[in-house]
Amino acid sequence: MRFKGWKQIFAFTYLQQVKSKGFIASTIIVCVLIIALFVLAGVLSFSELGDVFGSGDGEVKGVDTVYIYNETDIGGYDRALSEVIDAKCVELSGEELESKQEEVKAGDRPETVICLGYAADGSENGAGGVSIKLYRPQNKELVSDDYMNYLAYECTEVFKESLLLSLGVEKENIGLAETAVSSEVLIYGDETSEIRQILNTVVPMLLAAVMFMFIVSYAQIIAQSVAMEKTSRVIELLITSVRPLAIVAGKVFAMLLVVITQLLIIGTVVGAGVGIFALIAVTAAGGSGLAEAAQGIGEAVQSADSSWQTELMNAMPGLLDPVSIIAIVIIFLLGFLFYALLAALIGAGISRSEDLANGIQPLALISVIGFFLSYLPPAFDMGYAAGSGEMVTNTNILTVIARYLPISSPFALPSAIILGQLGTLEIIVSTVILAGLTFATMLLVAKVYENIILYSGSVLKLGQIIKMARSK
Amino acid sequence: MSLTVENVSKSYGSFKAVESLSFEFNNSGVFALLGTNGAGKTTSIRIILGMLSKDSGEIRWKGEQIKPAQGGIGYLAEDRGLYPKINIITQMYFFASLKGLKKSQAKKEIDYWFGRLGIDEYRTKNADQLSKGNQQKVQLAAALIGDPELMVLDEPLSGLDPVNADLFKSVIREEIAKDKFIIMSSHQMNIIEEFCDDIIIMNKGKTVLKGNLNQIKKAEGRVNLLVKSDSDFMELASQCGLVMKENTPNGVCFTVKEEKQAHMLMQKMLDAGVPPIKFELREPTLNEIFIDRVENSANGGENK
Repeated sequence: MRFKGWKQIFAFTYLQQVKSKGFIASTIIVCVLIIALFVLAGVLSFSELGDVFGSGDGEVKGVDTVYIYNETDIGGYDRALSEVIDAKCVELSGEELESKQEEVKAGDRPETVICLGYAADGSENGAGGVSIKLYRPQNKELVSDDYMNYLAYECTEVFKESLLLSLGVEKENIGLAETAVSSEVLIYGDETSEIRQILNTVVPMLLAAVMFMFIVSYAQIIAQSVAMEKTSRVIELLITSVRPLAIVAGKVFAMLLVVITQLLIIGTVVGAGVGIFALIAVTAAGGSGLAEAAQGIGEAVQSADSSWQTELMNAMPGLLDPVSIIAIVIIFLLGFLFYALLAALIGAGISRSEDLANGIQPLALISVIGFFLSYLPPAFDMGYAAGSGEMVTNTNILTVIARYLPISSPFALPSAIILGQLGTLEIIVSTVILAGLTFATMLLVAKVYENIILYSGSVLKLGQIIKMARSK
Repeated sequence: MSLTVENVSKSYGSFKAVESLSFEFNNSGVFALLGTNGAGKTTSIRIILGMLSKDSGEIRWKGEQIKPAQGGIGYLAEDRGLYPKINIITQMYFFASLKGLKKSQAKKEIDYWFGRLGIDEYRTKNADQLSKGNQQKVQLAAALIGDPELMVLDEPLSGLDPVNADLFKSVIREEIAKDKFIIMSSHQMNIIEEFCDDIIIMNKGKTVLKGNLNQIKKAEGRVNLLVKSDSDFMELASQCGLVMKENTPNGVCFTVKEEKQAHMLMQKMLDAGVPPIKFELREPTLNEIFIDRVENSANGGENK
């Protein structure tokens, strides 16, 4: 009986909210931005491939002749280079160099002069390194920048390959000889890799912002909705048939469903965006259609550096762990409930529409403090790491406070769980504290809401509301 | 079927909003809940509707305790309220669903009341696009949906033009004819006199007068004498011990302690050759009773 009518409030609030201009506009804007990002990424990818391989709209301007002056001991460079680029390669002698440079410099043909030589440290055996200089005509219209960048890359690769061949490496082993090797310095007990270091700062900041956006913006909508019903006196009509607590329950759960609806829409659009990106990329590479797009994604996943993938999964062990996902969902629900109930309580304390902005200030203040407690420590860590070169540890005092303080834990805990920075006990303790405060807020709402909703006067402060609960 | 209110009290801290309110509303019709601003009428209405908890006392409707938000009661609040940015028809279906009406039944009733109150053309408009009077009609329709046996109408005619006031009155008469129980609160005493059988007057949370309006008036007696003449008769009135209450273009009004004072004045005027154009001995109006009782209460007078 106490909650009779909550379903009607739930259905009405949900339908009105998803039909509201605010919801439609914000969802469309986010979706358009997501699609635009993926399209942009795809087009950039397309443009890069097209520019290099000449499959674009004719904007790429290559050279028809490459003149090579080779001072190093590596022979056959012109032949090797002509095998990988679509241009004639001509080797120059020292006498020819100067006149050819003048000719290319002032000429009107797409030609280039490449000079290979040992670095200027005096060594004759290449110990000081090799420099490759590419000269292009003064008329920049003759050869495009992208082509010159591509040619510079190929010149370097061909030289390295020629060098290895001259040292006796078999052609089939050249790939092995060029295997990229990375190294990093780790401290015992804090084996944080570079990827992990980036994720340790980016993921908490990103997730804190996302959680804040979804929890607090909708809590503010609840506060405004409750205040609007009260200031417009609709509440007088509602509570003849439905108890105020049932109204709050209906509103809060409806708003939760609105959040889930928006998340599902955005998630679907992200999926579509990935498809569009793949389609653009595959089309650029010569394929067409969805089947090729799907195949392209599969190949991309397969061809990705497996060690990088492993590193990524090691850095975010909670990403695909069902228990972690359940914990995050529970924390999100508790955080949403806590802020939503607080918002309803604050909204109920507002009697005049002109007091609305002032009335919801405490909610904004509490949530912003919670958000910055979650957002700033990783940001400081990132700055510190960039400045000192040391690893991000995420164990500073503010981070610890953010994870246990209920006003900030809904924003801070999900990232910590995904990154595997918390043990099971810590997660349980944080969640229990958050659940405790949420339950206390529920009790407070149950105790005072029915009186506050009919209160008329200046804006009630949280302290006054708590005093009312005690005195009742 | 009756509404019984017994010793209902409500305090906010040390402030007593309602003190031992008791009345019985046994027969269908209109019961008036009257009082000055801040007398405790709205608090009493909210308690009767189950919107507000009471500190003590009992309220029974058809012999059963009224529960919070039990529904089945039509309410037209003094502070009218609708969702400003939602169209009227959507709001009406929502209010109907809160009263437990199925959609088909809700449609039938909404169509009837929108037609009866002449607001059919506004059903797709948002509330903030409607005039105050039309918003009031929508509110009345919301109160009447579900065909409630008990209704509370708080200042039902305030702010209405004469045509719409007449429309509201005819709707109220129709509801009375259907044996509805209507509690009406208003500062327009002529409206109360037009509709109400029983009244209760409150001041500062206390009941200062209650009972059947006709009986109250009879008990008060014919204490007002209105006299108009072309000649001066003030000296004659003074000889009869009459005290002038007010002098208006309609005549001079005296307060009469005994009816024989009026008879004596008539005799003296006729004897003196000062014939009256108007000579009316009448009971006090509700407005006069209200002012008298409230002032009496404020001066520490006893309840009747």
